[in-house]
Amino acid sequence: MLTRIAGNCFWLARYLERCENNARLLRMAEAHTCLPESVDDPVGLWSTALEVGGTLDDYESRLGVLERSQVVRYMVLDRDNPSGILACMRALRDNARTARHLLTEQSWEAINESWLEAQQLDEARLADVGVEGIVVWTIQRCRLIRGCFEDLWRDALPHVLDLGAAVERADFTARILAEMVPPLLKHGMAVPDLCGPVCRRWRSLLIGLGMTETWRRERAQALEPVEVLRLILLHPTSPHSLLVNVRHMATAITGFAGADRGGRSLSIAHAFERQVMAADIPALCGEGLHTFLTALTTTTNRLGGEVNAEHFT
Amino acid sequence: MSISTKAFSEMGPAGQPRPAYRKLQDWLTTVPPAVLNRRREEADQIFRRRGITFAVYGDPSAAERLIPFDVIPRILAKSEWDLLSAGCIQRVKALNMFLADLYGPQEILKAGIIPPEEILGNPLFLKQAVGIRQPHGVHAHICGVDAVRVGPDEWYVLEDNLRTPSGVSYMLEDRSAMQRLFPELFRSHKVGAIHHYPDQLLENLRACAPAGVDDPTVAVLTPGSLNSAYFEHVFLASRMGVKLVEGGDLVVEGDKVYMRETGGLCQVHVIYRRIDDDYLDPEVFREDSVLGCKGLIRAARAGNLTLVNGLGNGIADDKSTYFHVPEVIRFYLGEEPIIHNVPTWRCRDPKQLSHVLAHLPELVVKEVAGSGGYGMLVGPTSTREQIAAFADKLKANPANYIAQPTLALSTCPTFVSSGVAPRHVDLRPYVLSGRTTTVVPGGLTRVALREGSLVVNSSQGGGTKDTWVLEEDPC
Repeated sequence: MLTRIAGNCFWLARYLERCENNARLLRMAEAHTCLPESVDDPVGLWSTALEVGGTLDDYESRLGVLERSQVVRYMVLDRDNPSGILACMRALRDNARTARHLLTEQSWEAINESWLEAQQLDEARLADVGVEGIVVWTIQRCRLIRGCFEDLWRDALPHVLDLGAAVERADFTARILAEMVPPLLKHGMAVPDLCGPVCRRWRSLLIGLGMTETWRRERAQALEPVEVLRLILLHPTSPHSLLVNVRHMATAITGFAGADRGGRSLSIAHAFERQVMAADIPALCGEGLHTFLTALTTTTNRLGGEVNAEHFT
Repeated sequence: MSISTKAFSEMGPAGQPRPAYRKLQDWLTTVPPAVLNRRREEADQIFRRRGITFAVYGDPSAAERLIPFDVIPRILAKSEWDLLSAGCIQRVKALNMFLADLYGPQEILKAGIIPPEEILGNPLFLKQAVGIRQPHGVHAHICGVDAVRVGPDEWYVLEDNLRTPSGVSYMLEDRSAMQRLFPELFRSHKVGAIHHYPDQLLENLRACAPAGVDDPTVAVLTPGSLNSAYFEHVFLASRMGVKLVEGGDLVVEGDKVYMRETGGLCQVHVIYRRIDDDYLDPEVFREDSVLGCKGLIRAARAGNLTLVNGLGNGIADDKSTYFHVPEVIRFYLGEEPIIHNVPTWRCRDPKQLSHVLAHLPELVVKEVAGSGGYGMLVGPTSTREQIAAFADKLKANPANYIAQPTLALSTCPTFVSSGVAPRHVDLRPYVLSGRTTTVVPGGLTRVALREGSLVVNSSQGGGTKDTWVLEEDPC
């Protein structure tokens, strides 16, 4: 596999993941607007959603005031928002075009058709189907594309795609935790009142991560901050947990480069796994969270850079 | 006691809406009927896609039928809800104490509050339940209180459903649908959240596990996918994150209940069963039942299993016991009932029977063990022939019937083919009992979609509405 093509496929997978992450952020912020506490707080989780996507500064410099319908337009339709749904669809399709000869016809058509449909998105459609309608459409398209990848040859390509998805998920997890958890921890470590706003904010975090169902299946008790963090960081089988994605990174690098040619990036991936495994969750709920999450983001970026330098150039 | 015969309009007259409905009425004047119609179609698509269906037994064409969903919410002000919820909680607390007493020391019978023969001679009093210990004294962990409103602060309880009350999944799915279809309405109303219902339920089920079990395993027991409420069984198991089991998945060994899992047997400590008592355990009840599991009652009696709801709860929500609930509240809680019973004539009493027979055209007559709107007579909407035929049934077996005045159920604005029009509604709040007794703010509003109809049952053409409880009273 050409290193250039591998790099494009890596980014194809990252944009695919980013597109779905962005859709879930939309769902999280929109669902929050239907809660009683949002009547007096219209900004709600919109700034959080933008901050997690890394686009708050861009939004404020270009559009100014945070206002729900404007943020929704920005997160869905704005072609210059690099995390926006339309921009992600375009970027993943552009990357896929360079690797079209490696993709199955069905994979390419699923990607291309998604892009064609995405171009039909406009304000009228948004008003017609609502935010949740757009979210459902986006997630379905992303999952359809991923499903088509099942038919790819089991050569280097699926591993490159896996790596892109895992790096993007790990990055997203670190970002959303950094934004949402510190304010929640100010309310203490005790199980929050089931019907109160703090509990609902923890739920919003799970919605943003796509881990609501994982939580339901796994929980043995009420929504306890330590247990929620343990689930997000260390769950051994949930496709959205940090640990699973960090492990995927090492497996994927070994898969496309070979066990003895993983280089520094493989070493970083293994070290990353050890770093996550060593997470002391109760300590993170105290003072250590910021340091831990900063280290995560740094490692993710370092890994991305190293993989690019070693394997995709 | 006199009950208004004119239906109370919950929204109030056009142009002068009651405070809780002001913003909604404004919104209704701006939203075109075509938009409401489109949203209703979208709601149908959502419900169909999610498989939110129920079955009507005896109608093969209705194996998976949608319950009509009305897109206009019902709104209750905080103060209105505070009254109703306090009344429901009071009632369920007393009924739990009543059940614990009936299957225990029977103090209420000894005190002469209820004639013992009425309880002990009732087939719904199950001797098999005597002596089974329910942790925290909770027999009715989930109770659906059917309430109707006839005035601003005037509610009546029609019945207490203490066995396997259904419909809570519709309450939660109706809310999800409304949030998707009309998010803008939630941004202008502080609507009390209800999505924590499954968490509250799970917390209670765990709290009611047998003594000494620190980390109990909970399961929902369903009769299977052909049951009319199967969707709800799946929904609750999934939202609580517990296993959904059928009778065949369970086995009792050494008075303990286990699920057969791929990794081996796994002990179950709490079973939220959605199977009637009769079918629960062929060792004790119907021998031909293939829905339950042999030995469940033995396990419960040995203190290794909590059955939810408890066994034999029918004795407390039977229409013939309903009559006594106000006294039950006074006896156990020393309080006056916050919400009243509907005045009820018990046809087993010859004097009351003759009154009923003389006033059939004005009354609603129900079978003592009936449900679902079947086997009843609604006098004011029945023909002379129907009334005469019902009178014959009544005379043949009077103890099988009770009669009540025809209540003018309140109306709420409802989107029907002719536009927005008032339709009669009732309300089923869900009261949960564990260490404490609570109720999520809302419930299932059932609406009679036919003009003038008072029958809200889904099996008889009724629909549902999202029920909003405002967190603050409007100024």
